[in-house]
Amino acid sequence: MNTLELTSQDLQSQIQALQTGQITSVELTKAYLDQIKKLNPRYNIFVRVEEEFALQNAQASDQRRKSGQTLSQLDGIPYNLKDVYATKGLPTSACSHILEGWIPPYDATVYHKLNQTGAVLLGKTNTDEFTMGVSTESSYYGVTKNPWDPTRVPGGSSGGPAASIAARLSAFSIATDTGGSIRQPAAFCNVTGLRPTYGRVSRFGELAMASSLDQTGPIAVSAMDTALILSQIAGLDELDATSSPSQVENWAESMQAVVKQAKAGDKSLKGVKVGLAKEYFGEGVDPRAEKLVRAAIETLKSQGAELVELSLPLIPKALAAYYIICPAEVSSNMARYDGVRYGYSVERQAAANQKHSLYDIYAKSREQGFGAEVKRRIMLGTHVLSAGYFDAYYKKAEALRQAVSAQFSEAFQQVDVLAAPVSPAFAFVIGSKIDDPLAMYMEDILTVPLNIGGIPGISLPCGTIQESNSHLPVGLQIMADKFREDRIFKVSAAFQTVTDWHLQQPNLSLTKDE
Amino acid sequence: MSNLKNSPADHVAEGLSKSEVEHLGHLARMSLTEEEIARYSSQLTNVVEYVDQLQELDLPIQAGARGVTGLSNVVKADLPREKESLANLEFADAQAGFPLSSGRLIEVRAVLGGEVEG
Repeated sequence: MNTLELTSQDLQSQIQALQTGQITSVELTKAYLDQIKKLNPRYNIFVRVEEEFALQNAQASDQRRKSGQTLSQLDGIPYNLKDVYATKGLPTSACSHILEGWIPPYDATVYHKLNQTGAVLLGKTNTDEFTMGVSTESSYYGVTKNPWDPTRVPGGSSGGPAASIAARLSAFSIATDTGGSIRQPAAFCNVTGLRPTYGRVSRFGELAMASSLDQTGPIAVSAMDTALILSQIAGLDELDATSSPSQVENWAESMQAVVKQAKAGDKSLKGVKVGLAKEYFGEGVDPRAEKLVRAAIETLKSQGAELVELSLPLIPKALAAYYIICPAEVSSNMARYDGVRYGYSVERQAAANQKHSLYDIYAKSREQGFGAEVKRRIMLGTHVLSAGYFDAYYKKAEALRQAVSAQFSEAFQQVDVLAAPVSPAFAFVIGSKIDDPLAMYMEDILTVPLNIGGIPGISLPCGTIQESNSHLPVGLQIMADKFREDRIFKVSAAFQTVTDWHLQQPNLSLTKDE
Repeated sequence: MSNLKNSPADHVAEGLSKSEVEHLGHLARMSLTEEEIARYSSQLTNVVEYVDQLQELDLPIQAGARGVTGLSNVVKADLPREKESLANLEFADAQAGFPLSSGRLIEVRAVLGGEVEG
């Protein structure tokens, strides 16, 4: 198998290739860098490529392997980071003008952990500005084109990360999911994306958007890949007071047993109860997408799972709560971008004799530095937190949040996982919703409930829809109780053993835009 | 629709007027152009009307309820931070981001006594 074929394979295959000496990290890294050079001008997936840095690290990895000092399974594996993690000495911008040129003076815990595994950072991938969006259209660096149809969005906010795996430009990607930002683009791009339980992965150094909702997770070709990565990045961090002491398991190992069973034709999901909450289906969901999702759920049944119909009446209300809580926290988190300590500042542009007042430094730097979506959310958040509105909006949303959490907990007494569509439809045309923020927000209606509840969920490719001349991917969402990623992985392992949707790749073309 | 007054009794089913948007911009320390004020007023009104549906729900607000993690009183051990801690920041690294600095000093505008715009 040549190197290019290898980059099309999943993470596990690449780990094996390195371990057996079939390939070196430098060869693998070079192959990815070449592909990025070829495809990035068209698809705008990477916002920054750290070529020299990557090759140096790849070389160091090969040296370690030669002297029998491999750091981990991920040693030498090339990956990318969504552009929202602090990486000392390497620029990070949250794809925002307000952080253009900022060099983080410290490392995010996730990045530090991946450095300790020996994984090789290729660069940073595109996102909606400060991860606010469902399409990657609000990025200061322009939209990422969906590798399955470049006239369409890759989803968001992790459009760059998801597209990077769809186009096989990295072995895995690390991204964030606050309201669906891993799962939805994963669904739109036909890749596997995991949003762990809130608190699983440290948020230290992850540029905060909504602190009670943000969570880092892996995007890769398969669920097994994401399990491998999760074991490396999860764990209690004293620098993140919201991180959980919950045990980090060797999830991939447990999945191997399920894979074996499924391959042998045994009922690998016998005894597993899969809940179908009616609020996730029917009205509002594209019938073709729902058909694929229901077919996928039947596959689970064929593996021995028992399907349980249930009702979670508060699910449809979760979006309203989200668009109160999230902007409120955003307005607080964005206050630090003030043109005084770092990032874009009118002070930098000012002539020597022109001194701005403090107010103007704030107001003008932020006016010029932030994009429209960020401004909208800051104002919405300011509004719902202001005197006279706090009880009506924020407190009410928090009460709903508790109730949604309770509903999920109750449901998970009856079932092991919930299965649902990820998105009401599929990748939409670039620009088609840009003038309608509410329509954009509605894209998240099936993903935010779990963020509100703090529970984990995965998006698994489950087929494509034919629309005009394109095949557009659809995702199956599997959710579980807090810290029960093991149940998600079990179901995912079975599903991806007996289906191969997740192995399908788009036809990539290099010709310039139509 | 009457002009939005800043009182709880009037908030239901009212959007964000242009003056409200301007006020929010001031609270959030963001200058806004006339065009932005008009555009955001209409867009945010849609959103506010949507989230207002929560008003129909009768939900108890539980006092003392734990947040999404169920954790409480998470505190750091009262020990000096280890040298290798990722949170350690050299002054030079912190200083590097400031637009204005010289030597060991960073420059910021005076809060009081400088010109302040309404």
